Amino acid sequence: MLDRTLPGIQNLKHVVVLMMENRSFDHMLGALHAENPAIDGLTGNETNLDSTGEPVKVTSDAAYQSQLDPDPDHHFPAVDLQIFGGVTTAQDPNRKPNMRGFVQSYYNQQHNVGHSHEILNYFTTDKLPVLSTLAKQYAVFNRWFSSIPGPTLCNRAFAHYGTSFGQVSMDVFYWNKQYKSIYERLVAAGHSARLYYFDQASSSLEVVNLLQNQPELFGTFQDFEDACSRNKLPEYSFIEPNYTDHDAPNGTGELIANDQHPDHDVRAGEQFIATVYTAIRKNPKLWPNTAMLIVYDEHGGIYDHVPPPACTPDGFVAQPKATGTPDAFHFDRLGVRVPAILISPWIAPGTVINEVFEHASIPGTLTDFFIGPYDVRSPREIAANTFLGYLDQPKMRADSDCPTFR
Amino acid sequence: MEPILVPGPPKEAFNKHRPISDLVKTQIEHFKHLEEKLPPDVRATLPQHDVVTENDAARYIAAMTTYLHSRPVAASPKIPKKAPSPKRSVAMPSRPALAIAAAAETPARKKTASQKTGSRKTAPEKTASRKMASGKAIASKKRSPAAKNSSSKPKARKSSGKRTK
Repeated sequence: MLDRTLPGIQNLKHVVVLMMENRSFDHMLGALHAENPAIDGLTGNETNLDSTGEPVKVTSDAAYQSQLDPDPDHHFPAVDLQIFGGVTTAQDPNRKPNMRGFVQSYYNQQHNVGHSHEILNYFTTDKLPVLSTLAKQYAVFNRWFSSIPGPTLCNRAFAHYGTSFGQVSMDVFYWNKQYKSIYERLVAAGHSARLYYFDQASSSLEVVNLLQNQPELFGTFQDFEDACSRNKLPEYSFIEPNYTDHDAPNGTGELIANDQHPDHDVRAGEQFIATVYTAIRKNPKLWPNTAMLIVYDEHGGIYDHVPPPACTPDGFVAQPKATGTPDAFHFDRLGVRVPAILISPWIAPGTVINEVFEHASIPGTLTDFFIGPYDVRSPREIAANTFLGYLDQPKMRADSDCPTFR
Repeated sequence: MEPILVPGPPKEAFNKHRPISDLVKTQIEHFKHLEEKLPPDVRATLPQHDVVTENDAARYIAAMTTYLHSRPVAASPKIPKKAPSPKRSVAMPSRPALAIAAAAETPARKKTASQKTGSRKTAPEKTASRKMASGKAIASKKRSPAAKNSSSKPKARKSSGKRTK
């Protein structure tokens, strides 16, 4: 249970979540293991067999752009192969995840042996100064998994609703089903919540549900920045990055995609993360009172070495026709691990969190903190660990102790 | 602590002519799903170009998003002002990792035949999905005043109500 006597919790007024796109933990943060062995990253000896049967090692050769092209497959059947290494339940009803199918999965897309190895590349820490610094200076989650072994929209649904309502694909048409979104719950309970998309041209991925039916919940990233500077930030803010390279709608220039989804340049996403962080960090009225979570929706088909654990089922079943595999999916196993960092001046530098988290932890944490007991939500969300208890320092860190970016 | 330099991408990283990803294709599909239900006079104001590149997508999405924000806010569905009375009054404690691992290795209970699936693709959506996967341009559909309006609200799904812990 959350200790509400913690000074960080007594001061807490705002929670901000920024959800980026399609990169695995090892790909982005795996190199940190060499600096801090408590971070469950890469030793450099992790391998996958390629299509010729040769073992291929992970390498620190990740490039900012043009390397993961085509976009690695991250739909349910491909992720099943990535996690279980091609072992089907017909072959072994008790199969366990072995994380050995990533190279084979990427090979299946172009049948290029050499190119298939690129899926094992990871970034050195110097190439990701923002993410690496934040992970070292605040709290990094060793065990934050995507909610299902599948693509973006159903994973993001867990962050909004605590469930994907049985979806393992990109079909998300479930307005007004039995579980309300966290935004609706908060607003109904007298709290403030907003989803900020980057701009009208990028918009939200929550189209058919919330954007269609409750457009008043939404704002732009400019609105977020204005809210920060004018001390009008809602109690809960969810931020979506820019999903496309496009001309600025007001004709003022060009806007580069900053979601880090392959094949967008990862540096643009680094800048965006730094911008979001700075908007809070530089405001002395916000910084002591805000917790920020940076998390990725799913691994994007990219290698990670940690097998996802089983989890509390959420009461839905996706049949083989939906999963694209011979098996039904009972939402009883998490997806691949993703980078997740919790930021607050009430967190000690170098904090490493080993409890299991997933995207249902987001509405779970917010409901617990802002609303209290609340039963009308998915079993997954009710069972999910919550994260605000890590704001546990007795004193707020000095300003000079918290990083800034330029 | 000195401010940390954040290098940006080079100019050539920007490519608004890049073909759209599956993610953006799906986003477009969802906007098209909404557009098909709009009155013809509204649809006439929306761009109807083929969506091939990221900039194509941005132009269409901007128009749809702007329109969705410009509509009068309809009466909201009833949302209880108070959370329903909980069956338990104690918030669930965080579980240690080992306990979750131990519980997780217990095979999930097999669902009963009465439990409905969550998958609800309709035939037109299945067709649209296959077209997206083929990599072809998302062509604008011809607007027909007689176009059918499919329900935007999914059918209510009965939950078994069981907690599986």
